[in-house]
Amino acid sequence: MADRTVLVVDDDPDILSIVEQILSFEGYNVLTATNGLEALDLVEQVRPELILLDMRMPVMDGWQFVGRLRAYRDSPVPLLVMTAATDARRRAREVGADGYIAKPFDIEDLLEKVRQHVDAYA
Amino acid sequence: MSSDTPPSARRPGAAAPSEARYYDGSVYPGLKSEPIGEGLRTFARLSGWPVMLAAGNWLGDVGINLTLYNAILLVSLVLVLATQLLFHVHLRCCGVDVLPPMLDIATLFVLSWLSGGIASPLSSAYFLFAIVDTVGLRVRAAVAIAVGYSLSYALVDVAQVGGFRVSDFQAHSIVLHVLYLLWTVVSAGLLAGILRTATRRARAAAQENAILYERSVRTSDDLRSVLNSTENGIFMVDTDRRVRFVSRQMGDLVGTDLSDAVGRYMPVLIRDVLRERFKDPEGFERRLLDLYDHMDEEAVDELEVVGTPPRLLSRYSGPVRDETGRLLGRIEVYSDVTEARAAERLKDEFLSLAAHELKTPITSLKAYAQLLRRKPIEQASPKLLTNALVTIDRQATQLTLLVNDLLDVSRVETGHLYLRLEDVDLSRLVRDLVERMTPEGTGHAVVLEAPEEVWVRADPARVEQVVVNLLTNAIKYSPGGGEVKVSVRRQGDEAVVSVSDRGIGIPKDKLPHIFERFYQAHSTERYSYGGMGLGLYISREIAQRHGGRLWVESEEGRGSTFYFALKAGGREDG
Repeated sequence: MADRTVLVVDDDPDILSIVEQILSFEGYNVLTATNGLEALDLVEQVRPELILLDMRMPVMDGWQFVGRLRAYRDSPVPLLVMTAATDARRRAREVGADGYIAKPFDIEDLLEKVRQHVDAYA
Repeated sequence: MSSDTPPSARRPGAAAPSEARYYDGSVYPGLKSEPIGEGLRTFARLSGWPVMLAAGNWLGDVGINLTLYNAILLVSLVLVLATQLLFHVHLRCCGVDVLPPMLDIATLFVLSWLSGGIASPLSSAYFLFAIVDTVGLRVRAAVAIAVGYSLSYALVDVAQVGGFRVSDFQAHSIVLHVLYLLWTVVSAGLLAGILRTATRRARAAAQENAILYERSVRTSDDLRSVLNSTENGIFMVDTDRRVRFVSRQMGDLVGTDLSDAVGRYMPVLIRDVLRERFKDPEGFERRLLDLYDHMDEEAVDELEVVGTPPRLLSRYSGPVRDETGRLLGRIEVYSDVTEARAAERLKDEFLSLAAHELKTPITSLKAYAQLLRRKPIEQASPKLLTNALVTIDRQATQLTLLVNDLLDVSRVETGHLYLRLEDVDLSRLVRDLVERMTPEGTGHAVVLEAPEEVWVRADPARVEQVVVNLLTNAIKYSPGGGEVKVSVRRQGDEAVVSVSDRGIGIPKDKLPHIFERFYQAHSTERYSYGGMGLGLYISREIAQRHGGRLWVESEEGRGSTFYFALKAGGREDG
């Protein structure tokens, strides 16, 4: 299953844990990070097929993370912004993400979007 | 006309080319030397003024200087006519509706000529009545005729009774002269009165004008003071675009001296002084000149003024009109809306932050609910079930806390934060809390130092809320873990709870703001430790409601210590 790795970045441990469970049930390999810095460390070691990214986080926020990621990686990794902000679409555009998942989300919607992007990549 | 003449009345040597007769028909001798012919005498009988001339001749015969008489007559005639004229003007000025003076006088003369010999006393009586009221002409004329006839014939009768022989002419003449004299005196008096009234009125008008002028000057001074007392900067230009008024605050608002701006040509003032004060000089100049080109337009917009810090001004611009609607120029009213806009922005940011914070627990709740429905509960693993239940419980609690914070803010703002005071052992309260709250798996160690009972009179739920808030913050802002030290002790007449962490601390420039509503020292739009920036604001309110204090000592990078002090006293002190 190494070709179906999803990296989830969120500072709320509960959300991290539930997204991890949902995706694991569907057979994805899930990596988690609570801020941008941890996520960058992981990306250095593993190349995920998709990143689900919360924007407002301590230590390193989503914007900084995307900036560093782009500088570091030549080939782009699909990125979905996962945010509770009212203007989720704008946030996604700001960092050049491939889409967004507005919190609170429906599990079906989350899975549909993840499936779409991982499959598109594969 | 009989020809016998009483010898006593005859003058010696006087011929009688024409005859004037007495009432009883005897010839009046005085008229023998009279130059007027018979036709003229007939004419004289038919008119008022010739009667007077005849009377004048008669007077001349009895030795009165005719030139003097005629002069007096002329003067009195002019006086009477002038008075009549002035009197009419006067009445008209007073608002009394009278006939135009010329018409009145013309009527009089027509009456005079038509009524023959009796016209003169009639006209005099007419004048007399004209000054006392404005009764209709016909009434006046009727009364005047009656009076004139009665007077002259009464005089003839009286004279006869007294043994004098008096002709119609003489009787009319005497009545005429008496009335004329009376009328001349009345006229002179009236004229003097009218002149005096006119003078008084002119003087009063001048006084009134002076008062009005002074009042208008004072009003305009007052208005200037009023305009200068508002916080607004006000510019007024006339239709020639010259500055008519500039309020004192205007200069302060744009940060330049405008005390000598009045009278200057506005486009020049904009170019030389004003435009550089605005962040967008071209835009400012273009817009304002455009507004001056459309004097009638009203507009409201906002402008940024350069300076430290830059200020945001709101501008109303519109036409100035007087009471009749005539355009006097244009006014611009500038007001500083920097603080108002900042407060609005803070509120907006807070609302979006609160929504964000509320959505986070809802996300977990909704996701677990859906997960358990997808995977029927009987098929779910015990681990998943436990996870779900624990998380749902925790997030529901979190949601409750957030909602409580929002309610508390509203209570604080409306002054409805009430306390239920009782005797509380602060040491015991804090000890229970620390036991309950010590976090697991975060690498934090909470160390409590509460050696003795410390009693306070307080609302235990609210005190607990403050301590929980301080503890939560200590853990939240020392993400690397470490020791959190909590102590409870008596210090003077205060009971003090202190909470110290070795976390990230608070930058010096942010220290003064951390107790402000919505303030988060370590949060930006992107970077967040969570929370709504309400905890310390509510905590300080609670402390102050108790008559206590809440303060902080902190060093960036080394940690913070918060102190919560309440007035000591309660059970142990009795």
